[in-house]
Amino acid sequence: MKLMTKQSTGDKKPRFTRYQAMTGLFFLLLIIIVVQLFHIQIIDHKMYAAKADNMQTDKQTINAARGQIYVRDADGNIAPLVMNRTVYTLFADPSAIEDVDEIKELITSVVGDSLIQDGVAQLTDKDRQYVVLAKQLSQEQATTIKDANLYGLGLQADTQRVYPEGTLAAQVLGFVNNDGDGQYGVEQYYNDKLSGTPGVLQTITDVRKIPLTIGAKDISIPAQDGEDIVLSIDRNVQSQAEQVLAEGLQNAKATSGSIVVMDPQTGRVLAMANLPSYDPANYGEVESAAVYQNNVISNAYEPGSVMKLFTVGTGLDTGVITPESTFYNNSCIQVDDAEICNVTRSVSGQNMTPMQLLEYSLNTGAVWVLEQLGGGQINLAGRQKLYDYLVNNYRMNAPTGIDLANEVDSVIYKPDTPNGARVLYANMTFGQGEQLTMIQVISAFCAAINGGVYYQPTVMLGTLNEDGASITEQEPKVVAENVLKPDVSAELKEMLYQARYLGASGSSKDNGYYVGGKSGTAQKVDPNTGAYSDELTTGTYIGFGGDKTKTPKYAIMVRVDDAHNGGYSGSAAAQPIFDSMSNFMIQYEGVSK
Amino acid sequence: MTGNGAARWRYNATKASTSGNWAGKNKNAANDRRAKAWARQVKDDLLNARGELKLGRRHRPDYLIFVLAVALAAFGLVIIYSISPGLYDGNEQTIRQEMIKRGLFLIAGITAFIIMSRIPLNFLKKWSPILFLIALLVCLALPLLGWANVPVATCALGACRWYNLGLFSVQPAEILKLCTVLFMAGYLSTRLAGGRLNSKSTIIEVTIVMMVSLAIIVGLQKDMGTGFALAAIFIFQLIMSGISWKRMAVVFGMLLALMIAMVIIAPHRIARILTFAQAGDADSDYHINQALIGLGSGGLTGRGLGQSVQAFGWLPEAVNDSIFAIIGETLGFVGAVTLIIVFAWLIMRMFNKTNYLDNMYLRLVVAGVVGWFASHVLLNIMAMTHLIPLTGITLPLVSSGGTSQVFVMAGLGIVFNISRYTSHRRIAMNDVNESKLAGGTNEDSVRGRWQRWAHNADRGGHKQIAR
Repeated sequence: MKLMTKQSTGDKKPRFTRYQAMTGLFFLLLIIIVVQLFHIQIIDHKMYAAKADNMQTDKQTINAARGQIYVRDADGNIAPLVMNRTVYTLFADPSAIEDVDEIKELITSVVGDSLIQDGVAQLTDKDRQYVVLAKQLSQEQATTIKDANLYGLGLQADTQRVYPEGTLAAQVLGFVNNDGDGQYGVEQYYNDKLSGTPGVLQTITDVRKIPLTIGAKDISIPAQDGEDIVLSIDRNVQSQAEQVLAEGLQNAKATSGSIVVMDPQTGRVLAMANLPSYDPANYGEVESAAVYQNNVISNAYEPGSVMKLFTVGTGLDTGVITPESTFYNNSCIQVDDAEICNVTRSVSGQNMTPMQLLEYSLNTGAVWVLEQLGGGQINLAGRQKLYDYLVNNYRMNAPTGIDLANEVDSVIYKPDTPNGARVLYANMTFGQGEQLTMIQVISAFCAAINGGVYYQPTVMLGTLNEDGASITEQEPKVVAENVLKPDVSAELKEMLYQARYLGASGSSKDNGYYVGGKSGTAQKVDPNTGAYSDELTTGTYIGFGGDKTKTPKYAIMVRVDDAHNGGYSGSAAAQPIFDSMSNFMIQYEGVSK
Repeated sequence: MTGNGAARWRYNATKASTSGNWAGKNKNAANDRRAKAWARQVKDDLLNARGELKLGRRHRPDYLIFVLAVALAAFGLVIIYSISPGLYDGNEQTIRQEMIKRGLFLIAGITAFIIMSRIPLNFLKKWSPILFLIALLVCLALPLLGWANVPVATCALGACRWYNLGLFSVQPAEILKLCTVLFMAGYLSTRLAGGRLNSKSTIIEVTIVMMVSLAIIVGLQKDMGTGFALAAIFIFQLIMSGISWKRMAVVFGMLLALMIAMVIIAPHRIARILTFAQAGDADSDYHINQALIGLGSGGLTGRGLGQSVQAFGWLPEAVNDSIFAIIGETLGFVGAVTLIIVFAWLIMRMFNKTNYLDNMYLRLVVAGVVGWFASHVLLNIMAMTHLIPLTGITLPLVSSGGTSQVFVMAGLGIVFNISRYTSHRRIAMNDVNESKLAGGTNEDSVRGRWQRWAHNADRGGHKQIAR
């Protein structure tokens, strides 16, 4: 391989012999191969290893069965409210079908009319590999098709929620969307608990996805099924609540309303319903997503005169008034530039007790309590005291934390709000100006009448044990004690009983049971005018029932929006619903006189 | 080879004192004279007075050829056994049957090696034209039988490449490769001896033979891989015969024209080429991707023997054309490079024999076998490493090739046979251009060689070479 040298002859000596040239070419190619191998096997090793893993490894998710949702009734029977059903999608691979007629015959006989005809027409199209023939087949239908063992047919199993009780407690339950995620209500709140943990099966497979024993990356984690939840909702109470609400709304010519029944001794919700509602099995067929909303927890509103009982409770608990205190009722009272008047004018010019304040629903009386809190006038100290009670005792400034999704917060203005705080707080004493959810009001109400214990409101009673019959109950959770002093709570309870018994509206007769309550009618802001309207009102009734031991057995709160049956909707529209429900509860709970 | 005692060749080690004594004369005349001298030289070396091959003194053959060949074949068996669960679905009985079959093929190969290592080389030379003709006919008959639906011809996708002989199958293209090596060696050495190597008629005749063979293999059997290997044999033997590059250019031109014609006739070959350009033919694309995944996932030291996943249906032809990818997957870069080194060792061991053979026929036979073997190794590994398009060619000895293995072993057996007749000393290169050398008498120059030969012929004596 010396450089070419000129010979004396002028002839050239080749630089390489042919043997050398061929050897050189051979080794050059070998070097190229080795370099390329180095590139593939060393430099790009990670990339190819990842590709290999990706391709060779089959990772299957083993679905965890979603927990079912149960309710009880007074006899302790456990009934399913939400169950799972395995449904099958039947599909075909036309490119693999051997005998189209045989398949057509089979599926027609098994599936019948619900066959997807477009899919059947495509069975002869050999270019296709996936054609859906029918959806939502039952287990039996799927088994029949599977047993026929025809080449080219396949079944895809899917889990679907079914609702044996139909629309019962729909807004409490929520639904499960197509991705398997709980939406609204219990399904969303307890999504993690219900959905469980999917299992994983990861193996290296051959080209047909058959697992191999090669490789150390195999993973096998069994699925952890979701827990079955038992609600504190009582099936019969819920059913009755939905029924009386529907009837009541019809009577009141109203379309929208809510009812909630709670056990005041535990905070457990026994029934919770709203209208309009929807069918969770066909949740996609609603006109507006607003019906998914549970207004008991997701809608803050001005509760109106029912707030007077909390105002009176505050007055009694702080000691600025006693059940024997009186105030002079002049029907109207001037607060700054606002004149606040009573609806009931018949008792004008008389001295009134706190009980009568509630009986006649006297706005001036509520303002009087606020004045007493301030030592005789509406001042910051008095407002602060009322605010303290609303926030710290009645716990109305934050969501209750009930175990349902989409609970909203309240609106309570601070006592040092710069402009119009005096008028605002005067209004707040009788339930205008603050916005609260029903669950906040009834939770506080239960505390106010049960001796002062604020229980965490809940809808889940506990989880169903694997035996399917016993329940692991969660204990009622005391959030706060001494919301009101026990004797104050008893006084307030008695006043509510008497107020209802005497009844400003005169409609409630004492039938021997210990039932007390308070109505409220709040004017709503007309969205057209931006001012409080006399036409648009929200009627509320809140009350309790118990036996002569004066232990409240149940608390009920009813709300009716935009009633059109005349009168004040609190007493004219909401109270009849309370009455029906209360009567039912007396029967159902076996409350003695 | 030590037993021969003294060197076979002796020559006058005198430096070229006469160098340049023809300088200044007509260059063409000088060249012509040297060419004639070269032809005479070849003729002298080729045959004796009875028309038999001049073989020279016989000595111990090169057993390393046998050892390396059997080692490669045994290694192939181990690899195939290690992936057999993936190949035969873990069916013990099938695995046993297949392994026995492959073992029998290896024994058949060794038998062929032994037969060829003992076969009289004169016999091969004498019969090589007839054998070549028979091989061509056997290859030609295959597609014809295929068209006629005779069951003995095994056809797939319009290409008939196998004779099914009941117990086993024979790929006649393998016979053709071996016969081409023998035939071309005989033809080219005769042309050389006649001083007509660079004449036009040589090129015309070679081209015709080559085109006919390729037309049958590539055109009728649609076997691109074998076509490349066959072309490699022709080209390699022509180059090593010392034919002028001008003539070689004609051959390359003809081959290029043939390739273009083939591409036009059979469009799936276009797809092959397109695949290599990252576009097209899903099957080839899939195949090469799987090969690269196999190699790449092996990394430096591989997944380990028996741990191949690609063999479980992912990689097509895992046991045949793609076995190199399996080796790369299981034994890694280290294993793949080791295998390449062993191949290179065997190839160079054989190729180097040409430097020690004065008989042009034997030289060209060895060169042909080397061209055949090396082209298979290179084409296979380069295809697997995505350096050239996939052609469908086996990795000799290692692939589970049945007939391929037997005939490759036969070819190696012939080289083994020839290795008995090498000289101790490196002999002048077979490059005719060397005859133009002005540079005096060294042992690699024709002049030196001629002088040496003449000296040897005159005196027949033994004189130690002084260098």
